[in-house]
Amino acid sequence: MGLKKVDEYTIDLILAAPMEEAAFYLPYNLTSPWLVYEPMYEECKSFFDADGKAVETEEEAETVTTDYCRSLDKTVSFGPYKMTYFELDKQISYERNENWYGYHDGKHLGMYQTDNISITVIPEHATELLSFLSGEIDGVSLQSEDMEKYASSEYIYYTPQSYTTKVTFNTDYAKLLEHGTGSQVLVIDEFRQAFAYAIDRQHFATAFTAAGTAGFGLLNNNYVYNPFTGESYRGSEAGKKAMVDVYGLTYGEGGDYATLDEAYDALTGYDMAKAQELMAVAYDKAVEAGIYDGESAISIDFRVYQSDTIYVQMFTYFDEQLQEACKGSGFEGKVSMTMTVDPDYYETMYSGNADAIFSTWGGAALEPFTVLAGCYTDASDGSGNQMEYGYDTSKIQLTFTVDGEDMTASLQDWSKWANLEEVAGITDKLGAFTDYSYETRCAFTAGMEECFLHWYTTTPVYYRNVAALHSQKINLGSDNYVELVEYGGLEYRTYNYDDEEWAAYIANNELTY
Amino acid sequence: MTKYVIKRILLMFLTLFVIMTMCFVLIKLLPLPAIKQMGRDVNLVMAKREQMGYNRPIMVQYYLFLKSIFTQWDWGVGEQMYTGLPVWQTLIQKLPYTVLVNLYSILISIPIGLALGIFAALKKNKWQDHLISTMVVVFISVPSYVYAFVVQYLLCFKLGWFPLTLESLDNARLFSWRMFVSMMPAILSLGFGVVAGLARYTRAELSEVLTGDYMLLARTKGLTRAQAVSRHALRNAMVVILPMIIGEFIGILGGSLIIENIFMIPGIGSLYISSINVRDYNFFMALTVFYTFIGLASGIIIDISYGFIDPRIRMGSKK
Repeated sequence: MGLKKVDEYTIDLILAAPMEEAAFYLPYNLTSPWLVYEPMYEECKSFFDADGKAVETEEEAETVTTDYCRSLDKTVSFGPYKMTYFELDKQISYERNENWYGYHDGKHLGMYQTDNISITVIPEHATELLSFLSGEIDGVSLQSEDMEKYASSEYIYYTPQSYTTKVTFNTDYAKLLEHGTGSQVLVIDEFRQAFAYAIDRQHFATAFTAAGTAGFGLLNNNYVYNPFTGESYRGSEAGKKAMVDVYGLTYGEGGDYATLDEAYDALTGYDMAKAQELMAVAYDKAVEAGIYDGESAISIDFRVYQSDTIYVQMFTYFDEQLQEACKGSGFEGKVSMTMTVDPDYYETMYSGNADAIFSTWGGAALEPFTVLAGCYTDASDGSGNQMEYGYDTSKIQLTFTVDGEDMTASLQDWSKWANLEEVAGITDKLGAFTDYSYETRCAFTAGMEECFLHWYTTTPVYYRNVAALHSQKINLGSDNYVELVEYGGLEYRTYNYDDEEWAAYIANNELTY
Repeated sequence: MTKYVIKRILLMFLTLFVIMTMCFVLIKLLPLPAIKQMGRDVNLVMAKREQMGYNRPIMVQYYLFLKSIFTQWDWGVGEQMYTGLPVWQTLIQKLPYTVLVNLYSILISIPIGLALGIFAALKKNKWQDHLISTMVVVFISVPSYVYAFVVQYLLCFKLGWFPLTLESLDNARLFSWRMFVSMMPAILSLGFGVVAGLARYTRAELSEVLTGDYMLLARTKGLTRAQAVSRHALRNAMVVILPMIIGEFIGILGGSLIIENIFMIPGIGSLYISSINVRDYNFFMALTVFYTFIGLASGIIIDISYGFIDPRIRMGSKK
């Protein structure tokens, strides 16, 4: 809702609704607050009227902007470090801010041992790696081609990300027909489902990413459904069941696997035989419905951001697998994908002009319940965040059994309810989403996720992780990844050498990792 | 000659105006991309769009565009790249790096290229000529970014002769020795091609000139070979070579996207291509005008330079 200044050192945050997690979320999020130095902030303001002409005062203005913190002279730091240098596209430097209260309050003993920080922009990965190996920089992210050499290094560490990369399809028939390439076959559910089964996600993640892992769901292993216990959404019973159901594995009596855990552990999402069966069904359906004439060539336009080697390899894999899935069906030899470089590919999909794109959503790892409404179900016409153009979740019906009673509403409405919106027909009967326990909220979310994925308008491919090397100069605060704290950050980093010792060390030794 | 120069300058501005108008109109016919970022940058950009009349007829927009340039030297703000930052200031901030690296590259490459070319011409068809010609072919054929990686790996990483990347202004002033040393890998990478091209042209031109009758006369008059070459042959050969040198400098002002990326030079090399890719029309217009002006100005300089090298070629003078 807003902020209210109480005194010079106290602010009240006013929330729209009571939030149990506020005791946890607020201190966590307020590590990056939005304090400004008021005199400079006001001085940096610019005012424009409705015609865009500059005016003198805020009262006359239609638009108010500020260039506070856009340059060094307009930046006032207030944390443990202060900015001392900024050069566009080149470097940002910080040094210890001796005025920071934390250096004197006795609560940060042993922390922040770093005196100076220099962040340099190195666009070329080869240069970055050489700089690291020569001791000029203290950390480097690794790419897939580096893993062969450094995967077993004692200096490697992995940071899970909340991002899932997927292949997202356009399923709006009219828009696809306009493309004129036969891609309207994408409206056939079995066609998309066949594509989903044709992708060996483990192979993809290993071959084309540095540290990615096979991805099956919209929400990856980084999402936590109970911030007080740190329990993983993906690792929950509901989260696992959703995946097992989406990818057609069975467990228990008469099932393929004895238990849910066994089925989940066996999950690969890859079954080329099934993909080929589904493609045959898709062909028959497409011809019968008059969507496809049975003979013409079909080209699926796959948009990518840029044409560097890794994108080309990924695209080539998708194309090959799609064609493999078409073997034995009427589509054989007729379907292919074409790669189009489009830096605005998200906008292209939002306008319905792409057939397929890579899409990646992540963030809010401690708040998985709102992700669907925020990213996947808000608008099928490209006017919101949802990239699955044409996939109208307001028309997808989903039934939950709550307290023994079946309740049916649209997937969109359920996701809005989980996003703490008041939804007629749900809120009046069930109350607020937050009235339920974390486990129940987890179960609702898993049900929505399963429903969403059931139509295969988007195919999760891999979960993002970052692999990086740290220099021999530094010690990370933790050897193991810890939720929220990660590896301890700058706060807990310690050093084996000071700058002079390090310069002497690298002058006389070859660094090996 | 003066009249000719003035006439050329006026024509230059007319040509610039025509090109600028064409580019502006063509760009405005394209769909306007949405501003992706949130917050105050979007507000500033939207305000600027209102101010520049984005929803008004194209010629009104052009009038406002020209007015803001001539009255305030305001080329707009970045909309898709460097959102909210003034275009001109961003350009000026990045330009010195590109100019300096390329200027140093040319200054180092010219004497070496000329020397090699002269030596090859004087030793025509001998083993020295063949060796230099082979090197020239190799250096011309191999792209500069290949040299860049080799220079970076061998000279910077393995031997430690130079830093891997360009120094920042926090550590070294722009015209300092330390900055120059950090530019050397990029200078060398850019310079190999220039040396090779210059050597090849110098050898070709000088070889032809050396066979002229007046060279025989010069030697007969009693001039030494070195005197004959430097006073007569070289000057005639420079009629072709000097414009090429000027053209090289102008050409590499465009910056090398790859070299700048490899050596972390925050120049303008990638700016033009990026502005086209992301459809930042303000940056595109500013850079188009900049490069067009440079190209047209270089044409005038090259034409005038002919007159200084060869008095027989005086542009605009009466017969």
